[in-house]
Amino acid sequence: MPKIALGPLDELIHPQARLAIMAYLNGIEGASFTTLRDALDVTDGNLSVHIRRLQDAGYIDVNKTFVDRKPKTFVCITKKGQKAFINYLVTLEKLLERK
Amino acid sequence: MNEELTGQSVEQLSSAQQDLAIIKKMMLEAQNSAALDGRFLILWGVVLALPQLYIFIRSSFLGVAADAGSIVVWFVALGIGICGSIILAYLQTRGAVNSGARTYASIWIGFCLTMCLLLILAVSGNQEVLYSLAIVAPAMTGLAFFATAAIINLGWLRWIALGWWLTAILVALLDSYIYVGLIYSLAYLSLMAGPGIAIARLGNRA
Repeated sequence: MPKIALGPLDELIHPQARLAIMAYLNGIEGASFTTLRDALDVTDGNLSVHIRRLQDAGYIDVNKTFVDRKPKTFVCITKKGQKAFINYLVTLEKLLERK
Repeated sequence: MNEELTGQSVEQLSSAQQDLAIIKKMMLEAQNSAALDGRFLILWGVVLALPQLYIFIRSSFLGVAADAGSIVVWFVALGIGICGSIILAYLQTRGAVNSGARTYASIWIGFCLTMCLLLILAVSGNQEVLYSLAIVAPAMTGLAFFATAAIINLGWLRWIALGWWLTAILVALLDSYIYVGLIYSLAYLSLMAGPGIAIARLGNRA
């Protein structure tokens, strides 16, 4: 039986919080910072760090706007991010198929 | 397949199952959160309740029969409802939007347009349509709530649907149509604006 090593998972998406962010944003057009923070149950600082890492990789876009004179941060997934997330899912599927 | 996983791959397999669970949970949460918008229900609950309450009070306590003034009140209320819906739909595009949110909006836009059409037919003098509308309206509202319960994954909305169907039965059993306006206004406030407030609060938390 030949031994095989599976392709590595995208390290940028792999941490749980970042994977959760990508999964959350993948099915929708965008979400506010507070919506994401509450959904992930993380602190503002923690979420900011993960968002910055994903933004630096070009996986997500961050837009700051004013709604009712209050600053609001909207986060949405980019095409590059969608492609990376789909690749991640394909790798996961391959892993589980070999179970 | 004659393949054997390496030690590193076994670790990946365990991690893959955890990852998949996270992905499923977050995607479901995103879908539900994007669809949660109770503002349409609050708007239409109030818009449909107030004219009926006004007409009921006028006819019951002041002895004024439904007249052209009542029709004007209805058209003003519907105008507010339609303009408000357009503004809300615009605001909704600035938040989290997905196919669930669009289906939810489509159900209620379709419901409102059908109700407006039936109402126009009813006030244009067709009495048969008017009597049928009294039973069809709450039954249709129940159906809309039943569909909404499935889309935004809120089981308790099915009880609201049941409430509307019971309202339809109650109206059908009435001997006199005098109290229809009162029953409707109470139903629209408690079974439409009420759930709207509850959904809006859930949406703010999501």
